Amino acid sequence: MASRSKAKVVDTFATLHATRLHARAPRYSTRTDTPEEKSESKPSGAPERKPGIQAGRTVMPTTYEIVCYSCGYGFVIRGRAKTTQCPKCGARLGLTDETITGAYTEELITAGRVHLKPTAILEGGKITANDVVLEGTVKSGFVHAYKTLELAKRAKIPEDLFEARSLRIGPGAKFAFNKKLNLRNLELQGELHADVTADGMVSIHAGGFFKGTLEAEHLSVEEGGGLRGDISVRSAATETETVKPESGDATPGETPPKDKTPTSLQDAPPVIRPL
Amino acid sequence: MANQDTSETIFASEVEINGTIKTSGPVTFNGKLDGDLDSGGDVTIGKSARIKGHLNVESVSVAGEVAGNISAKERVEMLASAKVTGDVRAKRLKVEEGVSFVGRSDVNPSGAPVSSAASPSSASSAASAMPPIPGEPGGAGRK
Repeated sequence: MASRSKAKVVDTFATLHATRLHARAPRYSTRTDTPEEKSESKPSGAPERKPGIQAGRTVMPTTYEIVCYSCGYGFVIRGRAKTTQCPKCGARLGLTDETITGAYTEELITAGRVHLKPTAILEGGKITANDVVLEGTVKSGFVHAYKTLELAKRAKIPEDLFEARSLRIGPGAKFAFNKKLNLRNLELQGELHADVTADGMVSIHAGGFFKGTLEAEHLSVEEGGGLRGDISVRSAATETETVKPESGDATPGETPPKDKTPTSLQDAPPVIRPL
Repeated sequence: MANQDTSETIFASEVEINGTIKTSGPVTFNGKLDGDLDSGGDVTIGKSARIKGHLNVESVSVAGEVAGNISAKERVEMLASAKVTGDVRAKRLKVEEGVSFVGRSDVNPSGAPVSSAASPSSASSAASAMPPIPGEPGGAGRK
């Protein structure tokens, strides 16, 4: 009889050990990323399916942040799946990504990502998804992004037909909204005119421009980014007693007392934050 | 304080000044200033600096506290430890995460006329959220 080689045991310790080795070693992968065309009309930082982290012969499944569209609870799942179940309310959530290219009049609900191409026209349909990338036109209906809504250059959407937790304005895009936006994060690679209250991070990249009233917890402006309007950014970690100017015709922004929180954040509706 | 061989002026953190500082060269300020600072060069406001007054400079990098307006001909950079209370006007702006900034900002690197926001309108015109293209007749000019 042929000799049998000793079977190797892959247990939890071996998996963790391989992961640590991978973290220290230069990263390598047997997968090759497909190069994508870089153009202004292409949505930029939209979340994509990422390959798993490969460490030796072990592949750690990719983690995905999901927001339940039924109760708003945020949780993390590992690996790709078509459906999952909300650990809080038990609702069954679809995780499929959808792409719309033409006229759309139906209701679409998914905890994945919906991409409306430039030829897409939303007429009376309702889209509910974790992430929505809009390159087309919304004439009627509603778009609700539980995580991020990205508006590309050719997108057209009235201000009362969308709701999003975070907003991303793509390169070359220009938008103006009269309604006050209550967001978690705002990322600008294009132009936005609005009054924004963000309890997370506002990032203005080179080429981005913001005009309006801005209240945010964190602000980051790359060189080349524009900012015009009344700004109130108080990083919570560095909030101390502000020094008030005494001389000149200066009219600085308001400096509320130390123990007063911005009313806009107090008045903001309760928000269920994704992870 | 001033090195006559170079034009840079450095103020140590122990320095306290009541009055206006005017210089044509670069300045590094780490102390306390109760007054304005006018410089024709680049200004560096150190982490320990506390300024109650206005800055009129060529470019400025702020890491400390400034309570007053900042007017720069070129660039304003706010580092992570900066606390600025006042208006900021410059050609270019860079803000690191962690900055505390309360005031008005007027920075437009492109220099193009800023398109006006859509005015409150009826339902028909609310269908288009696109502002007029900068430069078109009727678009708001920058100044």
